[in-house]
This record gives sequence, structure tokens and C-alpha cells, in this order.
Amino acid sequence: MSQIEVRFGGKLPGGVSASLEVPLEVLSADFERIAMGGLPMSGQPVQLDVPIGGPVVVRALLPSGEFVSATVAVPTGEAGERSATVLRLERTGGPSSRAPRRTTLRSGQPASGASGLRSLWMGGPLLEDEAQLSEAAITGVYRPGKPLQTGADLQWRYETATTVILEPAPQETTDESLFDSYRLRRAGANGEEPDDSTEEIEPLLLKVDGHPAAGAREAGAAALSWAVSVPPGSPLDISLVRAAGPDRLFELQLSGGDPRGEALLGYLRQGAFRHAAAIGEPLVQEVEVGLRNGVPDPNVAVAVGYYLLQTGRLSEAGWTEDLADAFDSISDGAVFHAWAVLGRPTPDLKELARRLRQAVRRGLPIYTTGLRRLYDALSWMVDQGGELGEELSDDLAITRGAATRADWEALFTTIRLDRASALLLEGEPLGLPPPVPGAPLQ
Amino acid sequence: MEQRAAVTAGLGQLTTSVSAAQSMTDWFLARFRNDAAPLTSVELLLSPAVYMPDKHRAAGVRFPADAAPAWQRLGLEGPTALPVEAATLKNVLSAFDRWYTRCNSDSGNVAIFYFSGHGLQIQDQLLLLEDFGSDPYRPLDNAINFDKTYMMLGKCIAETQCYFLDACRELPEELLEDYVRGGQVGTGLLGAGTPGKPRPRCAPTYRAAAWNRQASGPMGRPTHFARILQTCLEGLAVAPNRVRKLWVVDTETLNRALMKAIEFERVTIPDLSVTRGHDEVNSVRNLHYVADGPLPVLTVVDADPPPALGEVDVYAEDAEGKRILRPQRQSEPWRLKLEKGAYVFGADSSDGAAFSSLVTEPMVVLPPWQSVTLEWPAEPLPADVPAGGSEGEAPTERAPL
Repeated sequence: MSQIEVRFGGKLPGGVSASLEVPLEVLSADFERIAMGGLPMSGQPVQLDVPIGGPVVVRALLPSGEFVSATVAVPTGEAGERSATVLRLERTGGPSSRAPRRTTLRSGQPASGASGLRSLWMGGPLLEDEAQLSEAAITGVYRPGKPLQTGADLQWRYETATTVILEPAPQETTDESLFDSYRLRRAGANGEEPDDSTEEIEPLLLKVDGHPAAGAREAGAAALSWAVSVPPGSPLDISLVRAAGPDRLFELQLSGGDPRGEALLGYLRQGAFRHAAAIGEPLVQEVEVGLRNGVPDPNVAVAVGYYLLQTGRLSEAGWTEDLADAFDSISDGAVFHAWAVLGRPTPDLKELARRLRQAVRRGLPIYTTGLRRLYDALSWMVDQGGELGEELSDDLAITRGAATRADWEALFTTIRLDRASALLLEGEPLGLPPPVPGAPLQ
Repeated sequence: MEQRAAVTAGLGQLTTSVSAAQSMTDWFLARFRNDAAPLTSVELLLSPAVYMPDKHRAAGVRFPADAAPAWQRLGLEGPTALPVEAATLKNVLSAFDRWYTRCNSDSGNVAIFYFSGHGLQIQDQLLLLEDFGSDPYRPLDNAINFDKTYMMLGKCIAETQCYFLDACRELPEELLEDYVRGGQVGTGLLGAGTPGKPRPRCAPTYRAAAWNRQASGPMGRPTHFARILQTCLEGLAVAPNRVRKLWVVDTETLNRALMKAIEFERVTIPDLSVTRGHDEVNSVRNLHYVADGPLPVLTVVDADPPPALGEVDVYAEDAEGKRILRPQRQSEPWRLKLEKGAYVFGADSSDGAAFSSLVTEPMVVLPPWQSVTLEWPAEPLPADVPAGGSEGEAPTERAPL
């Protein structure tokens, strides 16, 4: 039995890596899985026993869908002998000033000389040149009490009240190929420091303007605008990240919160159930305990809600009502509880309708899957007809306005705003540094 | 010539979709293998309503030489044309009912739904049928509302359900406001009140196009998605560990391989897009078994810094010393399909690069994807120095191959 030591050598955005382990596997040249473990994203080494000698592949799938892998030559020793091979895992980087490296773990995406780190979660950016930096920017932040107009005459009025301040992130985080990077701070009424009990449980809605492609921009095409939901958290760095491939312009990259929820959702989004379960199962317990003892981390709780929703286990959870009530500004919790009710042998349709209505009142779900499920459940209720169906028809119409324009591939709920609409997101233009007045709450 | 689906009125006949549907039927008849849930029935509807077995093989898909043809599986004496039902809404509903009834008979069933044709995405994904638009006042009534159908199929007791949607997902601007105001569009194949209650299921949806993107394919031949899907099922998507000498394609590895294959091919077919799911997936289920044999690996060889790749001859060399040379020097990454195994990758230069020869340590490449980066030394290396050992670390022994 030999032992290999593996560590993730990549550079990660600040705070992302602290407590996350992703599943790691060791594969023989015959494609047999001979060892498994967890790879700490913090860069801490992990030791794995390997039963065979010779070349093996050490491989991990990141939440972004990228593989990092390396071939390691495992010494063939006597039975019981434990020898160590240090494997340095590197991600893509610029030109090396060193001698050629021995073994590296590399992402599935080929390196680009000018690029920095791709987002772990989004399959992220590879900027080719500086000119692309200006193609998209966060241009507005939702201010409470104003309607989000998703099109024509449909309005989705938020009832939450928060003042949000975006300021430029420190320079050291901007080498990770960002379009723009902002650091989110939250303030209470009149700009005062927020009450600890409320500051972490309100999501944020951003307005993003950008050009879909350089060609369109050159042709004089108008910029498109999107409204993007962002999970709660403070402090939180928000970066607009160039999306990999031509499918979309940007993704949001967040750092500063607990990364496990994001990782869980990243795996769910790419259909990596085993990986999702490896991260999700411990978190289920954690959230249950958190809800019994007070208020759990809202981002982790929401991610766990999605994990249970997509695995059809919400009805078993027994705490979705607590989750919905614990975070009264997060729409997603109400969506979860609605689906938990729907999954019961004899659903309480009045409770279901109440929770769906509540979800709509709270605003856009943070995650796209939540919008999908909200829309599906509302459609189902309206299709059933009757008094409840009729009562929900306005809520369905509001939700349809968003669903029609939703980017169904995005992780965070992203809605293309109507070009003809004025906006939409009432907010101060993001002059940098931005003014930081405490806007009176309306 | 590429064929793209238009998105609104004036939709024409798609030869690539008809070819894809027949090709996938061939594949399921001839190649699908799952001993726990063998293929027992196929409902096929086409427009035009004629199926010609084995006529629409997807290019580049590796079928074993001894693979039985589809017509044999059908008990025919040769590849003769078979009349099938036309893909109108009425016929699709009837076929769906039969399919649903069979799927709903046992929790161990594997339900597979494949659609190829015109599609739209308004709030839901719509799959357009032959009689789409036949009613000018309700043009989308004859379209399948897939999302509504998917939601209701949660009542089906088959615990494994796979959906393959080989259709566009563009958002038709001219229809947008109508449908925002007008409400639900298309027809769900299962209606409200269907007996049963929602159950946990492994029900991944594999889509040929991301939101607001087109699906495409060559005229008269199977769509890109059908071809890539078959490539994955024939070996690219296998999971580690053989079961009774067979490789297993499961619902998760298929998704991952599809995403990687699309990423791989997008360099030459920019239309291809990667989709992300919001599906109900409560487990990983074995879908298909592949006989032992060479397994393909999508391999991308790049250099750091990238432009240097155009100045050298790049190669991959297997354990037996067989060398695959890149046909020509190019600065773009070299994309090639290798067979599973151990290789060294190298670059030779004879015209003034910083080195004359660079070679990696042995690397094992495994499905579905391997990227290789040749790292150029900052300082010139003496000739034939192996690329090994990072600064401060002891060099590693060359692994036995």
C-alpha cells in the first residue's frame, strides 16, 4: 500500500476556500476507481492510500463542471510500505518563470495566457483583452419600495427594506478576470450600521447593463439590461464574470460567504448528484440543527432547500415551514414550503396557495430553480381552477412576466429586462466610489 | 450545409431532425443494452411518417463491427421502409398514453423520451409538431409544453426517466407580449387530475440548446446533438469500474460527457451550447452498458504561453511508442480524440524556439476529458530535457507504462 499526498494548489478568491472539500478520486490506468477522498479547497494536503503502484490519475470535479486532474507515479513498495508523493495541484496561470513543473492538476478548459482564475462555481471567465472589461457592468442596485418592472405593465413590487452600498473591491481581487468587481456592504435605515439580526437575511437585486457581444456593440446595438438576484451575505464581494462560451455574457461570482452552499448548487446544476450528495448530506443535518437552535446561515439553508427539492425529499424534511418563516425576505423559503405541502399525500391547498402568494410578495427567488418551481406550482394551482386558482391568477401573471424573460441557464435568477421599459431598478448610478447616503426607507 | 430551425411562422421541414429521430431509433434498437431494464417497446412518430431502419447512421459514431442492424431487431428481412404514425398532436397524445401506461407499470422501468424538431422557449419549452399553426387563432395549441409535461410525469412510478430534447430554445420576440398576457402555451401531455402523486425520481433532461439558443445539424443527416449523444453512449460517457466486464453509462456521467463533448466541438461548431438543469434527480441510475474495448478521451493539448504552440511540432506518444503527430503547426490548442491509456506529450522545434525538444511526464488519459498543458521554459533548455520537476522538488521517476 502506498500513500499519495494531494493538495489543491490553485489560487482562489478570498474566503471561498475556507471550509469546502470537493470529492476526489484516484483512478487506475484501467479506469478503475481505487481510492476516494475529499480535496480541501483551502490547499490543505490530504493523504490517500493507494493499493497499486504505477501511474494513477488523481481527479476532482469542481462545482463549475471542470475537472482538475493529474497523473501521479505511485512507487511500488513492499506490502504495508507507505511512501508519499506530493502532488501539487495548480490551475491555469500565466507564463511560468520556473522550470517545467512535474505534475499539475489542471482544469478542463485550456489555459489562456492572459487569463486569471476561472470561477470555481461558474466555469468562469477567460478574458482575452482589456477591451472586454467594459462590456458589462453593474449599473444599479434595487432600492426598496420601488417596483421591478419586468415588462409592459407587469410589476413585481418588493416589500423588503434594505439599503445596499456597493463599493469597488480591493484591487487584489480584480486580477481574477472580472468585468467589474464590487464589494457589498449593507446598511440599515439612514445609512446606519445594520442590526445584526437583520443584516444577513435580505437578498439583493442588481441591474446589470451589457452588450451581448463585441460585434453587436460595434454595430451600435443597444445594451441589454438584466436584473439579477444575489443571495444575502455580508460582507460579500460581487464580481461580474465573463461566462465561458457564447451562451451568455456574464455570470456572477460571489465570495465572502460560506462556499458550501454555492458548491452544492453548482453540482446540482450540472447534474452531478454524487458530488452534490457528498456536500449536501452533512449540510442537511447542519441546517436542521441550525433551525432548532436559532437562525442558520441563510445561504446554506437555501442551498440545502434546493438539494432536497431536486431530490424529492422536501416533504420529509419537516422544517421547511421554519425555514420559510425564519427568513421573511427570502422568497425561496416560501417556495420550498409550498412544494413540501404539494408533496404530501393530501396537500393542504389553502396553505399551498398562501405560501405561493407569500413567495411572490417577497420578490424574485434568489436561484433560477426557485423561479421555475414557483412558476410551475402557480401554474398548477391556476390550472386546477376553483376559488384558490382564481385568487392566484394575478400572482401567476406577475411570475409569468419574470419567467418569460428568465435566463434558465443562470444559477442566480437573471431576468432580461424589457428594452422599452424605463426601469426598472430604481437606484443610484454606480459612480465609483458611490455616494453612501442612507436612503430613507419607503 | 447547416440546417437551423426557424422560430416562428414559416417553419419548414427539418431533414436533420427527421434523420436524427431515425438515427436514435436505430441506436436504441441496435445498441441499447440494460439487462435490468431491457428495451421492450419504441413508439416512433415521424413527419413524413416513414421509418427507414439503418439509413441514418450518425457520422463518426463508433459501432462495433458485429453490431446487429436495427432492422434485424425488428424481425425484418432487410432495411425496408416502415410506415409509422405522423407526428401530429393527436397521434402524439395517443402514443404518449400507451408509453405512459407501460412506463407506469413498474418502478424499475426506464422511461426514455426523445424529441427532435422545431422548438421555442417562452416561459416553458415548447416542442412543435407537424400540425403546429394549423389553427391560426391558437397556433401553439398543437405544441407540446414540455415543462408542464415534465412536472406531471413526476407521478409516473418509473423511477428512472430520461428526456432528450433536440430542439431550439429561442425566445420569439414577436410572440412575447402575447404570451405574457395570454397565459399558458402549448399542451401538456399529461393533464391535471392524472392519477397518482408526485414521487421522487431520477429524471434528468438533456437538451440540445441552452436558453435562447438554437439547435442545429447538417441537412439530411442526424443533428449534432444526436451524433454527440450516440458518441457519449458508445463509450465517452462511461463511469469508472466495469461491471461484469461491461462499462456503465449512468445518468450522471452521460450529462457530464455531453457537456464536455459539446465544449470540445464548439471550436468547430460554434452553435453548440451547454445546458444546465433544474431537474428532479434523486439518485444516479445506470442507463446503458458498453462492451469492454477502447474508450475515447477528448484531449486538448495547449501551451503556456499559448502562441508558442504554433512554432513547434506537437505530438502524443502512447505506451508502445506509437506517435501521433499534429498534422500542422497551429497556435490554437490541439484537439484530438485518444483512446484511454498512458501517453507522453511533447513538442519538437528545429527553428529557433527556446528548446529543441520538450516532453511531459507520462500521463494517463481517461474518459471523458483530459487537458494537457505544455509549459514553455522561460530560459532556453538544453536539448532533450524532459519536462519534469518543479522548483524545489525532487524529480519524479518516470512511471512504468
